[in-house]
Amino acid sequence: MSDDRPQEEGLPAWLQGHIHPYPGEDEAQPQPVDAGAPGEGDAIDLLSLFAAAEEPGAADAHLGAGIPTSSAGEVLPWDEEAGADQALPTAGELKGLTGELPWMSDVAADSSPDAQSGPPAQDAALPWLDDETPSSIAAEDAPVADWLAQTPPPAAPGDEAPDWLAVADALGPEEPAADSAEAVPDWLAAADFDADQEAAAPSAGAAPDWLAATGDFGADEEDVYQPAAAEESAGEPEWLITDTGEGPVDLLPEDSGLTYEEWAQTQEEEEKAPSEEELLAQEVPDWFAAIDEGEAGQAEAGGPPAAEAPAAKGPDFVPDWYLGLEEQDTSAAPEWFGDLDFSAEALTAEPVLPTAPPEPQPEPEAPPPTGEMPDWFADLDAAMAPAAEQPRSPTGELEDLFGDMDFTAEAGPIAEVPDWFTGVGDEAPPAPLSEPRPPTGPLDDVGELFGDLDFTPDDAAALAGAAEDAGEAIPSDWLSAIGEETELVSDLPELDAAEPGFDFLADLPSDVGEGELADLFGELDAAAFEAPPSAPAPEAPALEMGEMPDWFAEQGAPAAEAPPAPASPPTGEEMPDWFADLAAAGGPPAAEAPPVPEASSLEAGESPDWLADIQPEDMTSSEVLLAGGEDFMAVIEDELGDFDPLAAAGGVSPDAALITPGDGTLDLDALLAGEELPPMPDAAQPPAAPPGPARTGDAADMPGWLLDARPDDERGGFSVVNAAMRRTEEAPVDDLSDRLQQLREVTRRAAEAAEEAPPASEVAGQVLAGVTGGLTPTHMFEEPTGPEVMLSVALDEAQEARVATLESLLGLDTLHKDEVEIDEDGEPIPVDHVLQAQRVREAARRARARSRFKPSRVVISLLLVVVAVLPFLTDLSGVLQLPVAALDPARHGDLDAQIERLERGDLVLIGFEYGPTSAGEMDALAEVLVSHVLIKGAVPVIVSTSPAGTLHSRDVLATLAADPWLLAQIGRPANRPLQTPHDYVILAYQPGESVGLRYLAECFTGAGALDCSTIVADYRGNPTGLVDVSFALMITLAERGEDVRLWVEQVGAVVPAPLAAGVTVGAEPIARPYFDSGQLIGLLAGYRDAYIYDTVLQAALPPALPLPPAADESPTAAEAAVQPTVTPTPTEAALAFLPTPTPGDGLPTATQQGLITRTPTPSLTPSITQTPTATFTPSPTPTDTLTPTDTFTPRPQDLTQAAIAAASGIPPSSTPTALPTATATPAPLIQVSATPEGGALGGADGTAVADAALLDQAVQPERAYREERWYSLSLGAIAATLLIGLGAIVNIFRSIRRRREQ
Amino acid sequence: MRRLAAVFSSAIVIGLGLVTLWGLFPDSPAAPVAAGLIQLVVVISAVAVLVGVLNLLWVHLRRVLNGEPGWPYSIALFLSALAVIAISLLERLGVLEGVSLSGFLFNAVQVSVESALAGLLAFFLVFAAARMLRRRVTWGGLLFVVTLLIVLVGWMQVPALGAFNGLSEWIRTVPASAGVRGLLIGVALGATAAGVRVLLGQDPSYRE
Repeated sequence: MSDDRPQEEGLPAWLQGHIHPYPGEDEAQPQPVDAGAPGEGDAIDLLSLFAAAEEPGAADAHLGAGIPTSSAGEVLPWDEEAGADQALPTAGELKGLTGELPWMSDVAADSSPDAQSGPPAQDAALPWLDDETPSSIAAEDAPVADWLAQTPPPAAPGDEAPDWLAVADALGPEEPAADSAEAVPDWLAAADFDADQEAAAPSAGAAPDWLAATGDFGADEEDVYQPAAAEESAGEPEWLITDTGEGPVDLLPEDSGLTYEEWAQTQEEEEKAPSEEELLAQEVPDWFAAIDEGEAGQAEAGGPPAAEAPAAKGPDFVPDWYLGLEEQDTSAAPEWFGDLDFSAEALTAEPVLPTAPPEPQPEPEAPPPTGEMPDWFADLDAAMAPAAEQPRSPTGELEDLFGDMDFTAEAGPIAEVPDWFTGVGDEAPPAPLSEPRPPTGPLDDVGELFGDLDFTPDDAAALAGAAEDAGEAIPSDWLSAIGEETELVSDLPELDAAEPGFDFLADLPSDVGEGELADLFGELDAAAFEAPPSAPAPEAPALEMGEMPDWFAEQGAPAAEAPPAPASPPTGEEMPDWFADLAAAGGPPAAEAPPVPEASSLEAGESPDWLADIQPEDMTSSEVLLAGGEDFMAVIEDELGDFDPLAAAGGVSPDAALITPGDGTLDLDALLAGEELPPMPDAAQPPAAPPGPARTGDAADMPGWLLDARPDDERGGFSVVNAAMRRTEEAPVDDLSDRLQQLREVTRRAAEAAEEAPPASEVAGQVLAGVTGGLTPTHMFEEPTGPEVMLSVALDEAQEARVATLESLLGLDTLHKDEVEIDEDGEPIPVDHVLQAQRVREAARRARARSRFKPSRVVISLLLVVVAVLPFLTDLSGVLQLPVAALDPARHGDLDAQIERLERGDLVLIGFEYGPTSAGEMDALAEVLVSHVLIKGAVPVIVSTSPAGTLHSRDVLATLAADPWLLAQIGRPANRPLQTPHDYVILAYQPGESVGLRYLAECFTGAGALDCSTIVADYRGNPTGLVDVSFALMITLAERGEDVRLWVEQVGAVVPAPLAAGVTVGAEPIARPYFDSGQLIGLLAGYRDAYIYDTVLQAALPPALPLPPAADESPTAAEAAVQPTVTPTPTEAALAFLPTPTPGDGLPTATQQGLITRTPTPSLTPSITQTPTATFTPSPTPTDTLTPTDTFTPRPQDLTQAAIAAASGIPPSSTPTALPTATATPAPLIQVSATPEGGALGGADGTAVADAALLDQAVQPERAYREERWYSLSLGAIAATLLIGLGAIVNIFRSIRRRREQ
Repeated sequence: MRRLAAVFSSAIVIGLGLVTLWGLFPDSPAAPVAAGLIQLVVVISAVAVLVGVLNLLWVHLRRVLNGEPGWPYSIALFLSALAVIAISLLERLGVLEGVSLSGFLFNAVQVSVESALAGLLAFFLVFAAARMLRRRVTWGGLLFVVTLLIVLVGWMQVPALGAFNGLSEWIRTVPASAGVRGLLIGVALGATAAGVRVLLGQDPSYRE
């Protein structure tokens, strides 16, 4: 880059990096519009107007030097247009320039003719120009500024002026362009300027350092500079002090044709008319404008009518002290208070450029005489005139022109601002510290207009060359010589006065002559520069009195006529009138300027950081000029070498930091003289307050409430204001809404924090020294503070208890105790998170282990296990009682009787609706019922709607099929187990539940089922041989009550057969209603009923005499072999007993019907002892002997009683009345005696005697642990009852105690 | 089109439902049709069971192939199912004549495990009942505990308790039976209402 830009060699290192690249070099780089600097892009467009209006030649180097740029390396639009190929547009080509400002084409087009003939439109707006005109400006010097005409006689050119200037002086103003090229510096020679332009260009470019510094006093500097009126005089340069009191500078254009009085009258009239001040006043609150006006009135009764200007309606900045006052009575507040917008959007939104004030832009209604100002100024005036007529906005193009002016903090060092200039912005309202861009007014626009001028490498090179050519003689005395000799130099004050970045001069059309250029400036001054307080003042500080031009020396005299700066009355006398006007009009732009970028340390040979961030276009003229003055920069760098602007409490402008902390001003003279800079502000200081309004100097003009709210220096901040304002308000705090109270609290805390903070604004206070009544600086953004540490949480007892409970559950109760460790200093020791996590995991593990281990649960479980196992380990027959072996017809129904009525071959449908889960309870019931059915010779047909039920039924039947006792009871040898489908049938799983049962029922009934394949094959697929089946009995063994319901509804209601149910105890409540309603003929529930039934059954059955195994016989053959031996009785009964009806029973006293004789084998020839009571006489002959005449069908009750008697062994208390005298060959195995009350069976003596030999041979049923299971159940129930009862009692007492404690 | 299909399906369901209902009446000429429809449902249910088994196997096989969490269990299930099916087929084919291996597996595994789980329920119930009033003593809880105790004691039929046994019996027969009757009646009414809704085409399933 440096190789491509050799011209940068003459620039300081820091500046080289910031010089705008060659046009087109960075064309690829887009031109972003920096959001942080709103309006900058627009300003660029505006500036491009000037850039295109004149050639962007070498003059740009200095004229545009002070223009802040958007960003590094960015090519501005106007730069691209003007410098892409160095083809400079002519005036005729300036159609819109950037294409966005068509009106400027008119300006360019009209500039030439107006420059020749048109009078300067803004002559009246330049009083300083007019004041100097009448006395010394000659008629032939009309294009030259009047004040220049009054400059001292030309000095020796070679002494104090550069050669080129001397030559120009010799040639005279008539031919400035002819020979100037020979004498001008190289940079000027390289520039493509006409003579007129050259005359203007070097005047600035060759300016000495002090003058270069003045270029910084443009709008940018105004933004930054915050005058301190109280110490103004102390900071004023000597030359300026001596010049004060001379009255206003009478700058009457010599060619205006007016006398001074006439001109003054015109001036006064124009001052009364809406001027730029009004526009400025619109940017400030009314009260502030009033202050402004009041202050101005001290110096001049007819001050600027700024107070009448309406308040700006845009979003205003709200100071902290105002927070919380929204709902208070605003009637007592000033007018501006009501116009403020405190909405969140307004407070937080990026400031929007205010619209142009409604007042018409002050325009010269009548063209002043052309001789009143230089032609080039007049030319500009003429050029601006049509633009002002544009109906785009009330302010016309002036708004467009200046609306985007940049008053950013990139302005030149404030240190270069003379003291008297510090009062300019006194009246400016406070601006937020971080506000990127304040609402701009005309004054802002001016600065912004020139702030964006281009600064090309050519310019920089030219600047460097100019600086070299100028030599040492330039800085001090050259201006006086210039003022005498050349009118070009006479424009220097205007240039610098108007704006440091007068880049547009270089961009003026090349054919514009001197006069045109002067007119142009005049126009510019009239249109826009009337208000900006930026222009000429900066030059002054650098001038010694003897070196100061006369025009400047005379400025002090007419100060009384000019509106002095309200904030600084003395300065009004010291500064030029026009400047006083600007000062009176407002410092809003200056005050509202955003903070300058934070400065960084300036190390030797390096540019500070804040300068590194500044692009050429961001630079102020002074910076660029300083770039050409290496010596000066060396001084600056030396002075700032150790200064760290960033450390200097961020946000403080490095320029502001240059201000002497004591008086808020910087002794520019001392600086230029190489003196040591004033001490830098403390780096530790907090960010300085934004450039606030200058102290008015006299608080008497303030409203009372404002005086009360006025912060004092001791408090130094807004907190006092905040408190004071709250005190003044009548509204009680309690009346505020919650939201406002919260906001008030927040504000109060912020104020307290600010008070506790170090003097926040020592720097700001220095900057704002002398500011009285101005709005206090307010933290736009609250300083980030550390995380708020909550040392404890307020919990009530209940919450603490809950927390403790949760912690105990999680095992954190002990962990919290050492969670926070305190060191010796009482500070908490940082927690080792790894260790903490490990502790938490361990605690959680312990908590889980503790949660799993519940002693009560273990005790209960162990107790239950003990009581359940104990019966199997010891004999508890003497402790516990077995259930009474009696089937209660009211509770169990007639199931046993129905089974007894079964005949051989009858089909009994048994539904196995239970699975393994209830097998322990239901298997006993299923076995006893199926066994009874099998003993009766019936064929159980088993079906299930559950696959598990089907499989389980298979296992149950398989067990029974091989049961020796059962086989013995049936009369089968042990090697002939029951076979399917001959002895029993297990159907396949029946899907469909209710529908499946319905289908099954229809199949059984033959009620129209299309295909009853379900009953055709068993679960293995083997044929069952069941066709047109008719069930004699249906039994459902259901685990759930739902199954019972389905069987009752779908099967019991369809199949014409009695239905009984054996269910679990849990399903008993559901099944019971069906039993009670008669839909179930019998109901057995649980193991208890199974035990009872089995006991009765076994008691009723004769001893199972085992049969010899049939050798080599198929079951059928063996059975067939047996069958012949069996008496072909209608029904094969397994039981034969002789019921003995009691007298009152009403039952027939008949014994067993038919006297079933089961004669298994002829070999069985027991010696039967005929008992008188009951005789179970299986005789080899089928001849039954029935003694009683009546037949007797055993009832369950009877069976139960018999079983009870048999089981208990209690002899019957009475002999039966009816004694069957059955005789049989085989002796009865069991002699059942029954009490007479029970109608029991029994012999005559009440005892049943069996043959011991036969009993020994009898096969006992395999009912393993039948009684033990019962005992286990009983003990378990007892234990459960005790545990539950005990637990309930304990818990009840605990609850009572807990309530008492509470 | 979809609405038309819904209407069509609704008409079919309503028609068949009415026919089935009609066929359930005694001596209904539509009984064969109703029986056929019922049988069709049974067949479909059987196929559904088969499909369910296959789907179960496929799901677990996919979990194994995808390595999803718990895939080892899926492997166990898949292999177990295949083994049982294979054993059953072999038994059916007569290869394992005389050996009821499937029955043994069922009793040894299924019945034992389920019985054990059911047995643990007793421990849990007792423990829960004992701690029932630990947190809070309410009238409802107290009534429940008292009733439970009465039923338990009454179940034991301790002769010494005398009238207490009758109280237990009364509780089972009167309050419990009454409650269950009410429950069954409610179920019946609900089933009737559901059937009526289906027959009238008011069932929400028709609108899906």
